[in-house]
Amino acid sequence: MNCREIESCLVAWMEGALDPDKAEQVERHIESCPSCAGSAEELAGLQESLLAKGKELAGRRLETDVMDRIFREQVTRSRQLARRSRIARTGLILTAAAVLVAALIFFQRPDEGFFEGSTESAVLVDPPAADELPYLGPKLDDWIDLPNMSKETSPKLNSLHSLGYGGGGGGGVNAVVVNNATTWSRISKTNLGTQHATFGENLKSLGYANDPGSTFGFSVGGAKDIANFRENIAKGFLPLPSDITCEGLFYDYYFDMNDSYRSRDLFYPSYLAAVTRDPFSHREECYLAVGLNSGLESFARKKLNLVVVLDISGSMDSAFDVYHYDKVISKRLNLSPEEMAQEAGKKKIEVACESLAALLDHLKPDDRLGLVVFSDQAHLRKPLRYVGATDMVRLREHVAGIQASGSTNMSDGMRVGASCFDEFANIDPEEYENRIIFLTDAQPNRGEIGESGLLGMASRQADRGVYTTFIGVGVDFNTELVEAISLMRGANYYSVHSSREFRKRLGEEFEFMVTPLVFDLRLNLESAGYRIEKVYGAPGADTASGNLLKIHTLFPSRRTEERTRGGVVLLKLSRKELLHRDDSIFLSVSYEDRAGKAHRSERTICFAPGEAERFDNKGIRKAVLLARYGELMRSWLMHTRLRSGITAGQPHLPQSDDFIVSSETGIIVVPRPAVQSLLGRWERTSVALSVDAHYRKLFASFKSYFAKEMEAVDDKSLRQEIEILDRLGR
Amino acid sequence: MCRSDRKTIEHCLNGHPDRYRHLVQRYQTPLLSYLTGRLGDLEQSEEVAQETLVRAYFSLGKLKKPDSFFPWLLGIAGRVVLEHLRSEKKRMPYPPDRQEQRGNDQAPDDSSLEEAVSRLPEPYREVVLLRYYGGLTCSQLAEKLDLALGTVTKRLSRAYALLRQSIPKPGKKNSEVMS
Repeated sequence: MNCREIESCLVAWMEGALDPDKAEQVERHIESCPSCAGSAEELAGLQESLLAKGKELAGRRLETDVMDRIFREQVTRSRQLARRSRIARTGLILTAAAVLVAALIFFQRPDEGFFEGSTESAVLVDPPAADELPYLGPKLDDWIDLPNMSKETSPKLNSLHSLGYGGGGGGGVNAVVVNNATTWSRISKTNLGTQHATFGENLKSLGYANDPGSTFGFSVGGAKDIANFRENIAKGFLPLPSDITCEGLFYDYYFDMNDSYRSRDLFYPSYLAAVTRDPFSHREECYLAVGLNSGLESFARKKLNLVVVLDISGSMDSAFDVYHYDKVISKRLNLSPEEMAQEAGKKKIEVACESLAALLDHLKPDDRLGLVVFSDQAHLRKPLRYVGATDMVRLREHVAGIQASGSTNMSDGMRVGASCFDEFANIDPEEYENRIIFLTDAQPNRGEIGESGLLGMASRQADRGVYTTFIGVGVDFNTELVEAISLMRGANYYSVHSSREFRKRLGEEFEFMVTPLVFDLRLNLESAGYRIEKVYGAPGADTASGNLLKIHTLFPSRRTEERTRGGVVLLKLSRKELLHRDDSIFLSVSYEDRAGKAHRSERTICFAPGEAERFDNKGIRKAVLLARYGELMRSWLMHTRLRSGITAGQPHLPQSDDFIVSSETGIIVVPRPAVQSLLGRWERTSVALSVDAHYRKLFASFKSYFAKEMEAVDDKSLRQEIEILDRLGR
Repeated sequence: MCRSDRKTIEHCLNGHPDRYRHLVQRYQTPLLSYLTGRLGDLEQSEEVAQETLVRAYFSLGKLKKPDSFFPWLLGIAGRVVLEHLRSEKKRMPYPPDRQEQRGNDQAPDDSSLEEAVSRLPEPYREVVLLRYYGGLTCSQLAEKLDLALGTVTKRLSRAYALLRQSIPKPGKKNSEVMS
């Protein structure tokens, strides 16, 4: 073969598309011909860069944004069209809008509209084939299924027209897609806000919907996962007892908290009871689960006045030590080794800036955005102004080019961030959310809780309606601070271990994260026969009085298939010794909504006595199981930590023997204060994971109980806890 | 590929706008590739790509040859790029230090490769896109396009030759070879 022939089949050879004989000829030639070898090398280089580019670009997904924009643009255009044709005056008119779809029908009835002052339009769309779902714009998750939709009800479509459902402000539209042939119907819930409740109710009156149920519930602020606990175990370190908080554990799971009660209120609790025996001591225990529900069918986040306060101190310039966590994180995020390497090479400031950029994706033109950066002192980089009037492309560039240096002055960052709100302090909370997002890689110390510290200032801002989200980049704030945050009105806390993880989390939760809806929730329990012994799933709950549960803030939380993520607070009740048993419990709930309006509701429930184990439903059964699991883990961690001798012989401190679970003691309630008092001593040293023989046995036996319960509550996602028990019981 | 484009566009125009999603999925990567070639910055390219795809959707009725959707899309993209660059120029630099930050983030020969790919004549562009951006092997490619394996490798060969003509050779400074 000569060089010209080689040249012509070089690509085929590199692509492995030549038969073996020919391939061998090519190889032989290349070995002896430097010119052809050079060509081959050059080709390989070109291929490599093409592959690399292809990989990078193929990772970008535009379709959701594009379809969303098209959808909104269509709505705007069709409104303009409707306005121009001035058909509204005549009342009920259907207009085919050619821009959108042949069968788009617009509907107006301004004279007796449900929503005063706006022009309503219902969009009825020709039935697409089943394989073409979802029909428009929003992702599948954004649709609510309406049960009981059938052929028989389709004649009622005409009455649906005449109800004049429709889009309100903010570009929202109710798109009702009706398929007459089969039995489904969907309502887009994007941007519907409170109008949706009326919409759903009217649909219901028509027999279209039985009870579509709410699309969200609530979860308690504070820790949103127990990642630290899981990571430490996976890495072979002993977690701190405070790493496994019940609210974090609950937020990893979805709970069915439906009792028979329904309300149309913003918030209403449901109550479910359980009488069950401790798996070790077999003593009877009573639990009351409080379900955190909403009667609104959906919520729209408020317009945002958002100030991002970004730490650009020198420490942010250091590499993001993702190798430290690599196994755990790559497992959790399903990262490939290449992607891991990519994350690992990043500086923290890059991760923070990428997280910030991801955050920008979630803003709308009528949100306002400001940017403050701080190191030795804070600087206002961008005053609080409309996103629509901001050159986001340049802002992104600016963020991408931020350099880190200097020391960390967190309180100055907070001060300048807070000052951005001076002109917006008296804004209507029903319309706007004032929020600071505080991104830092520093673990604030206890001093920051004080009056002039970061948390003290954030707390004062909360009093004037400016709430804070704390985001720890590459660090987990210590438990004491997380607790201080969860006791702060409207505040929440997230930790970021990779920008990818954060992007994903924002995608799932941004709307929830920036919309606290319920404040100062108090649940008062009055009963002759029972008192609250312990609260699981609400930080800082006051059990001293035995009858009061306080929660500072509820954030909305995802709800699917009638189950709410982390939507439960579990009360362990103790039965008082009485001459005449009294099983009735009077429960009153009070809370404030965003506008500061007080709400109150009351109910009386009854614990049905009985010998056998009894759970009202799978939801409370799961909550009890997880509460016991968490408590057992905390006992083990207390026991193991204390046994290491740090506190031996100091009578005022708890002793390791206090935390040996046995058939005598049953599962031990580990008091939060005991944990807190010891944290300072433990926080700096890492301790290798160890389980003594006693706890190994306990874990093995608890595992079989857990497996049995897992089957009973029918939730396979609990398997991750079995894996942990398995590891510890070995 | 083209036949299904035509079908998809017909569906879009006949009351199934959601079908447009398929076109977006199909062409987002090549479009981005072209735009990063022109603009040199992925974030900006994404914005421009979005705008292009939205405009294209609302102009679908004007598309005379549905079989050449992608070249038509590139035409729109070209106009959007020009508008974008013009408005960039007009705006005050924000923030002041941003000029310094530019230039470092993107290696210029990266983007010239993309531009070169997007400027390949159709049969060659198609094989390159499918092979590298679509992740297909040559034999998968042959099957998909209903071509002989030899034809596919020949097209790739030709594509490489064209690419090599239009992009800098390794080792040489970018400025020397840019035409």
